[in-house]
Amino acid sequence: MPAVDLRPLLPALIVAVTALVVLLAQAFTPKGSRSPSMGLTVTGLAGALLLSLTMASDGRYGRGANTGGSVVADDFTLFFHVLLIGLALMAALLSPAYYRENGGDRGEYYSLMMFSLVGMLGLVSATEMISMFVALEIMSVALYALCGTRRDQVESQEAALKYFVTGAFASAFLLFGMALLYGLSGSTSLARVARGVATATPEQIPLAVLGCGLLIVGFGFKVASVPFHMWTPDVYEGAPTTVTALMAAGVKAASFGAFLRVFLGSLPTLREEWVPALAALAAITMVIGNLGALAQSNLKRMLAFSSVAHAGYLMTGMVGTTEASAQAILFYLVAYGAVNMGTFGLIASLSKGGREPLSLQDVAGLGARRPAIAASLTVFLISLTGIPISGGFVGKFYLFGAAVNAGYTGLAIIGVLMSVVSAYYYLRVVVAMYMREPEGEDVWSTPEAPGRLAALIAVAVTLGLGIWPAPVLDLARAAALSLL
Amino acid sequence: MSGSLVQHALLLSVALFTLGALGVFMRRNVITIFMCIELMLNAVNLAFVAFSRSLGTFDGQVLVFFVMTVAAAEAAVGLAIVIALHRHRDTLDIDSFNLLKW
Repeated sequence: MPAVDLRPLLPALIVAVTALVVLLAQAFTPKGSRSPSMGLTVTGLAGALLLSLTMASDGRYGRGANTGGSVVADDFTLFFHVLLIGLALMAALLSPAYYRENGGDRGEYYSLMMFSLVGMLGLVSATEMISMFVALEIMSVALYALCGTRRDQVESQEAALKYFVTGAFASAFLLFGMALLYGLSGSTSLARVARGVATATPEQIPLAVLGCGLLIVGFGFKVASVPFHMWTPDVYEGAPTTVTALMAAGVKAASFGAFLRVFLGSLPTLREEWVPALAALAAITMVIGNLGALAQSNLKRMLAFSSVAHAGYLMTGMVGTTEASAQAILFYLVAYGAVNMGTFGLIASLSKGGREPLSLQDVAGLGARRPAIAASLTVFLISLTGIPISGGFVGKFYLFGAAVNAGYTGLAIIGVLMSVVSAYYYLRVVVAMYMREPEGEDVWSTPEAPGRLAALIAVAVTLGLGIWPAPVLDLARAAALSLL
Repeated sequence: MSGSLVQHALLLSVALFTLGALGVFMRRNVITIFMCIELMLNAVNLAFVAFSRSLGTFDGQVLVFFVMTVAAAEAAVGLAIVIALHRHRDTLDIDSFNLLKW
């Protein structure tokens, strides 16, 4: 029996051990002294990030390694590892100030965040359904608890309950889909499932199609696509803002990672069946997400609907089923992740005494009072709209390009039209910041150094991807090639 | 003989799954909804075991163990959330949790 190569698991193991260390350190910290949680978290995550980058640099360090056929460290995995750990790092930097203003900078919070990250890392690297399911649940269960970390606040508990009920419900569908694919192929390995589906007899095809459909339902819930999106606005609004940031950026990226690996990587032979379904879902997701966002006055809710809309844009890219579409989705996930982390992060770091700037009145006049923050928010909103010089523009260009090449020109047109609609509600915020007089006194906090650093990284990534996208596009292409 | 046994098991599994899914939509008590989700997971377990028997591979049975473990972890967190919410509100009716609009 050959020795098992554990290298693909190393980044996740480092994160998990750090989570346990943080939990223990919290228990041994005397009351009143400064909590070491953030420092330890950042150190551990930076270590995992460095390790992932090292692994990605060369085959000797584990690039392309494979743990018993169930977890791989191919380019696709490592691309997501760097993205996800980077996002968690930014969330960790944003957290202490937010929790000080909103009660309880506790060690459990950081541990849960890292456990959730372990799940995300596993989800994108799993090539076998048992590992994939367990990783998905590690990610989700930690997030259910994270949503409810503001125990004094009913909204936070309510968000946790709603996320829990819908999340568990979705997992059951995903699992049934996996059961049907297992029944078809006799194996939980995605490679064998692919072979089983490719050689399926005509009687077996309905089973495979039904399995695909159930998987789309399960993943649809996780990436927040219509009609499985109804939890999104409530949960995004009720969850603590730093957790919302991690959900919007990290969970969406990790779920799309698994979505791509299963559908583009393992079920391409069924594309005649699932591509039209996905195209229809993408179309209604873009329309309902954007129209829903128009009606919102609460910034967090507006961004939640925007997250639904973006699930639609990403699925539009997926109908191409070629490596170009995977490349476009990977690129867009980086741009979208940075922007969301930045936007929610700025909202979180402005919060003071349990309140956050969530309405247009709250941000009115921010351009005069806080020029740097207003400018950063403007960059993020421009990128969400998809205006040139931002990463969002380049990303959407490639996503819609992939759809057009696949013959879904209509879908791309819906996407472009809906982006125009979205300009109204994104730029409304910019107008309020720069063109309206401030109301009342400036009651918001000044972001602290770690929060400023996170925001700066987000701005740099957003503009960098817009001005010089080639390096990330190349990496995304290599990742996409390792998948297909 | 084994073939028809598997078919019956699968039919039962689909029936239980449907019952669970309907229950999630129709029941109003959070704990009952939670039980319905558990029913769905167990229906899936039954399908995995039935497939495993008919195919003669063990992946499915291994997966069932993981599903049971995960369901237990999920129950722990889920019930903790329900208790935390019950401290704020003296009810378990899902329709009353409407501070955030569904």
